[in-house]
Amino acid sequence: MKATFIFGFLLGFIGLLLGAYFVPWTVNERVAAIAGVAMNGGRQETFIIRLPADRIVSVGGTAAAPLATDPIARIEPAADLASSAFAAEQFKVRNLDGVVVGVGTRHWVAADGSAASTWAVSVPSRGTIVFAGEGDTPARLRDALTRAGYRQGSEWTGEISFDVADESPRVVTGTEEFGRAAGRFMETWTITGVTSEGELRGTITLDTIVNQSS
Amino acid sequence: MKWFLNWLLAVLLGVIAALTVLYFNPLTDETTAQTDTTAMLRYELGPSTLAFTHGDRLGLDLQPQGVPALWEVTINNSVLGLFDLKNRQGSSVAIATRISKLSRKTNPVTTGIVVSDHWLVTVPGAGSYFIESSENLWPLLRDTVVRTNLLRRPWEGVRRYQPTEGPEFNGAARVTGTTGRFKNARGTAVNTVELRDYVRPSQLRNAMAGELSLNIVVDATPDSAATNSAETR
Repeated sequence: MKATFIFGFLLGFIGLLLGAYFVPWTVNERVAAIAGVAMNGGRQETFIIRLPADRIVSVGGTAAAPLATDPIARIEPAADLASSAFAAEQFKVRNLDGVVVGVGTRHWVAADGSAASTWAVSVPSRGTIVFAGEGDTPARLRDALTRAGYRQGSEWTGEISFDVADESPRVVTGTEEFGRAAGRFMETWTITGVTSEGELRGTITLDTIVNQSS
Repeated sequence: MKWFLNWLLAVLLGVIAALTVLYFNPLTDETTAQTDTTAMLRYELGPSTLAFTHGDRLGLDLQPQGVPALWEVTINNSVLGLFDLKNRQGSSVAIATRISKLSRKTNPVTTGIVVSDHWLVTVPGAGSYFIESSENLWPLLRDTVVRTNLLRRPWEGVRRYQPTEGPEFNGAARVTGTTGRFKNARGTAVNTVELRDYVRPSQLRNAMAGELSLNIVVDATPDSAATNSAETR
């Protein structure tokens, strides 16, 4: 009887601890990466964002217009920042097959006489990759749309495409699978329409070429 | 039959003993990250949170109403927040996106409930920086969900937690500058959260405030003594 009790106690005690130790507590569904090898080396991978479907929210100062979006996604910043030249946008991010594989955020800011944007793209099963490049996105978007005949407050349909970054857009850092990442990227906006409320339709394409630095 | 009941009782006692060990497990307790603090940014989980969305399985309200949930199976373990960050004087000086997900390091026996927490902070007029943080939420969840809800013990006072536990060697989070004045910046950060009141899990969404203690070297040259303006414009 005593031996049975001790055996049962140890079974419960050790069994639970082993279960807690070995059970996989975190399972992030993984979709195979669609990646290739760039001509001059590096791992090439493309992420895409479809507007407006993939936009989660955005916030920005008045100086960031016309990145204005639909009334649900558009959030007003605090009064202290309302007139500042910045924008923060959050998106769902897809692979080339159009499958949502992660979330991404894009922060654009004008500082020290230039403007630049930073992306952080998180693929839960793989890690987060961060890249940055200089370029005045609101001005470039405004100019491209104006040249194509867009007038603020009216609906527009057509197609424009432009690269955002001016100089050496680069992969800054990464975590987990993207750890110690270095390389370059290209951010391309293809806009096919604007609603009368200023909501953009189109695609943002993020082409990355990543080398793992030592 | 008596033999079986004796055995079942013993197994049950063994399970309770193991759960007690996990509850008091020192390996999963809070560690104290050390960093010099040259800037402090405060945020709130509550009405002043600009946006908050997740896989809609946490029982926490999404904000604002109508914001898309992260329902896709590839991202439904993630939590995405957008915060207004204030300086010591209470002025809004920065905006931050916070992306969190349950980490593969999570283990109730050895590490606790570990979350990979990534912040992208933008200071208008200055630039942006990225914070990579690993946070152990077990002490907070133990005191709230386990102690208060499951064990029915009363919640008392205001409690502060310092969940940051890496990846820097001193237990602090890692800061990497990306644009503007912070382009080549390096530094460390520690997140501290304060829970003012607690009754049920949905309250975690409305009664919590946090502080990011930052130490950022803006000019990363070895002889530079220039430190940050991470909270100023």
